[in-house]
Amino acid sequence: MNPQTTLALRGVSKHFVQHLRGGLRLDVLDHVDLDVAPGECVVLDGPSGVGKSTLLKVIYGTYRVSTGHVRIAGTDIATAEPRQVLALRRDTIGYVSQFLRVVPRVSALDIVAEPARARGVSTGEARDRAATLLRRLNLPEKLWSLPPATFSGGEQQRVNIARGFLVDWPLLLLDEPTASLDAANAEVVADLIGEARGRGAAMVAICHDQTMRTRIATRLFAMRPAEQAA
Amino acid sequence: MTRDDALLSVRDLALDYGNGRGVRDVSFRLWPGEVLGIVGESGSGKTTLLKLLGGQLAPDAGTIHYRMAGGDMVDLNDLSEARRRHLGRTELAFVHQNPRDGLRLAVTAGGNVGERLMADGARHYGRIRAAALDWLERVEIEAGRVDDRPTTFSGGMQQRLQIARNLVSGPRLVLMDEPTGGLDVSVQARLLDLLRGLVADLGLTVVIVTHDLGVARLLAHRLMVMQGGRVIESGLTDQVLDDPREPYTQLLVSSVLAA
Amino acid sequence: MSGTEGYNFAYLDEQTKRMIRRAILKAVAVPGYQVPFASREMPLPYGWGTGGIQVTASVLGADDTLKVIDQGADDTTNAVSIRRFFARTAGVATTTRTAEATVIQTRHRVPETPLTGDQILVYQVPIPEPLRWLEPREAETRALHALGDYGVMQVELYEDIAIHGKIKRSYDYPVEVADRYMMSPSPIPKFDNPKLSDCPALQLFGAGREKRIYAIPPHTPVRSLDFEDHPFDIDHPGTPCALCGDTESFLDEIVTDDKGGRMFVCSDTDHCAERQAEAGHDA
Repeated sequence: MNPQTTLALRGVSKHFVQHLRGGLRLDVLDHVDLDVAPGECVVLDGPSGVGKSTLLKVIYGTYRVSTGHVRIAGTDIATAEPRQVLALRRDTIGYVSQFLRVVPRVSALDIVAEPARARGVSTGEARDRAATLLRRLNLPEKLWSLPPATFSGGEQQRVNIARGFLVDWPLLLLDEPTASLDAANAEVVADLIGEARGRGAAMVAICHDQTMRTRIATRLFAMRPAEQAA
Repeated sequence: MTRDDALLSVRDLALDYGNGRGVRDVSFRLWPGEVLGIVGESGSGKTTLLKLLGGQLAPDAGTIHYRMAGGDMVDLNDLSEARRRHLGRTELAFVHQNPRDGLRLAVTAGGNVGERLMADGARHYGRIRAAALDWLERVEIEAGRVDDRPTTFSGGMQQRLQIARNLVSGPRLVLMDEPTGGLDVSVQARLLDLLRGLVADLGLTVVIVTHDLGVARLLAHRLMVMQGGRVIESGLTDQVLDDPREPYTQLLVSSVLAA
Repeated sequence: MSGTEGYNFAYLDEQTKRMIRRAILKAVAVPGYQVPFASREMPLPYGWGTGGIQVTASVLGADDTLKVIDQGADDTTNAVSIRRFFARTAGVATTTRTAEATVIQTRHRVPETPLTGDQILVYQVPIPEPLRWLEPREAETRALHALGDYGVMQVELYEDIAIHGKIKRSYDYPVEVADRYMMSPSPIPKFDNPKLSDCPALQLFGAGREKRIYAIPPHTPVRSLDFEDHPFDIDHPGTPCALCGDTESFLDEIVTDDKGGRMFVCSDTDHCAERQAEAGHDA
């Protein structure tokens, strides 16, 4: 493995066995190899159902691989203990999912500030950072103190993005980060991605929007459908 | 962090009630600050396991090693009754599903919260009361209710009082048995959020038994799925809930609307 | 001693007295610890002092002088009956004078006159377990005593202060004996609690129905439970005794007619009579 890479996938396969459907086996990833270096933003390319989201979840450790290795900052997340994965998620891997998992009664500002607090940053400073990002993403200040349950899709996505860019993750996973955003806010996200690359973050993204894709991608990673087992 | 930093180390724990039920072959480690959820259907051994951890039941086999505040590792089953009780009112806490099992109903809210402090030797009324008031505030019970008995409280308030009563002594390991069971959905949400905040702010190590996967998703870092007294699957909460492998776990996950 | 032929000295047979003395010795050896004993049927009902009588019978010798008080008085039915019982079954001298007695059996009071090392004070105890109202299970209260786990009683006192602003319990006020066992002092007023500590006399407690004996050996420290910021305190009556003028003894309220007339007099009849006699001499 090249010491310069932040993320290295080797021979990663993932299949699901659906026991409730008579043991139906779905092969989604088949021997995927991928290296991502600091400053790169690799956009996953391929038709719907090819396994782009699955690959992101494999890298994040949510999906346990069937075979292969996923090395992140010296740890193989495929074989790591749960608490090692938790440590990676606290210090190394950021994830901007398409949908915000809303926690009842917690304000948007605190949801955004949480990753910094988890790293030991004081509540005040974490909130200051969160406020700076939310302002930049044009989220109306009157919403900051509210739980995002009632926010629009675009507002929730901006909360998610702010959360993803609050700390300097060495590796950032982005799942359609601009899908629900207008052009102006999408531009802010593109700038944030550029700044993160500038400080050496490695990124893997899913992005269907052509304009945005050319704006953020340093490289496309072509994915092909896995051979379905009989 | 090395493996030896574990706060709790359980090996081959077993208890047979004599009718084939109980728990078998349970081994796991728990590190400081982790929240471990135990999920499974009724009769799967969840509560039995929790009671074994809390010392309410003695195992037929296996060990439960716990790292004391001073750093010493002790087997909870080998402790003398005196040390076990002392630990039980200082470093360990047990939150019952039914708050009436964990509260003194004839004693005021303040007395309930202050009991662990007094049991541990506190003899200054003013300071005990200040601690009680502080904890009532933290669990969102108004200070004006400090001298009311829990029998006059709603179910949600009773549960929050039970949590205050347990956390006042600054326990390092908190065992919770279905803490949101039997509460209205809106009351549950408030309690869950409160628990989530306390766990994060205090860095508590928690084992929480629940059959509610939504509760597990919100509170737990890791899950163990139990069936027939055994742990059949374990991993990070999102691993177990989003990529369940065992047939039973897949059934469990598919049986809820959205977790 | 007509009418008592066939009875052993002080009614109980020697085997029984020996058994009770062994319990007493153990109680003295472990101050404040409740020692089980095989309580006997006595010729009076439970609640009338069967525990105290068995202890008295076991420590009484032929040359002892017995005093029996009930609520401080020598002349109430219970005191008179028990005094007469031992006069008939043991033939011992009896007295109402605290200073002259070598064995004093009491219900609900400690005499005002300071006791000496030549005296034994025997208390009648209805419920020996101070934790009973807080914890109904005997196995559990024994465990709590064994482990010195007394937080629950402190909770009880906390409740008093929280609700009433002070510890309201005015009798049977729990104490800690020799820095170890929590003990019920029997239903004496808390006014008497300070007399228990460092007392030169041997103090024995007998509970007949509950079959327990416990003791405070001479000169043992006895501490009334309290809080640092709400220390144990006794209520002074404020008014002097209507008969002897004492301002420091424990008073009883006596209703004198059916028109609301009342007076406060010493509960300790011997103490009051002594003071009245002294006053008569001085005059």
